[in-house]
Amino acid sequence: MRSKAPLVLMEQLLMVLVFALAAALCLRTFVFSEQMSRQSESQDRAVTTCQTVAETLKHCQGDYAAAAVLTGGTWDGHTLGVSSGEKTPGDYVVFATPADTGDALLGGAEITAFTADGQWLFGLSVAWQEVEHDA
Amino acid sequence: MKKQTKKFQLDGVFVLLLTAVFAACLLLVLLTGAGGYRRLTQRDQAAYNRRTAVQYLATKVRQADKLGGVELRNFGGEPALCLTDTVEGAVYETYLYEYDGYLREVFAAADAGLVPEDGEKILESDGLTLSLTDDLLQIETADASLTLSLRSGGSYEK
Repeated sequence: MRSKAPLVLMEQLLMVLVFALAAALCLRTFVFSEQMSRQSESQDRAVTTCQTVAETLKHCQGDYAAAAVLTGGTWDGHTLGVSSGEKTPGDYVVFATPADTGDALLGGAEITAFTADGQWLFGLSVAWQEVEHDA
Repeated sequence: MKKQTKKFQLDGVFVLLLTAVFAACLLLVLLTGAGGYRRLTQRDQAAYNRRTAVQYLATKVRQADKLGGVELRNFGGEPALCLTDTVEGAVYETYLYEYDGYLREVFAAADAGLVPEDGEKILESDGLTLSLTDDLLQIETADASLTLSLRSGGSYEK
């Protein structure tokens, strides 16, 4: 009587191969979903930071140096940079650059958030009324 | 005959071993998936709690942002955001504060004499701090912070 073990073994190997292929696809999906979840969390935090920067610039009426002090960021004369903070260091950076609104009485800025590896996360535009002060 | 029996046993053992490896790999994939899904839902829930609390307060402040409409007060020993509104000549106040682990809201007439326990629970909250300096309102929770510029306040001098 011939042994059926080799046949069973071949079936098992085929089953393991198919399972390995399915498992590889599943694991790839799990890793991708984990990355997307982390990016979504970073984006969520970045949105709040961008709002904070926008509101601070409105309050300071375009005084980027003062806004840098209030937000804990840095102003190099061209761009205001605010990092992601102590709770999530190196997670993202928010940049605010002056924007030309075409109206002398309307100040504006473009605020964008990028991840540590340069991927765009979020962006918004902000404008404020420029108030003329007596000298 | 003995050799043939031994061969049958070895074949059988190898098949069983392969089945065991397959079962172990299946279990590993299931556990990895379950763990990943658990982390994902926890992260999403934390993001929801973090975002919703500050955005709810921001929306309420923007709705009430008019001259004298937004103040920080002490409400029953708790620091609270007080949003004042006048309806048909009567002054009404909305207090937003944290009490007993919840962000709470209470809307009543200015002289109603309510206490923090009377507020309606909005969200679970931990470590809410509010500060208002030079018409810049800072809202901080344990995980998030948001700054709002009050349009109704005084002007900023450069």
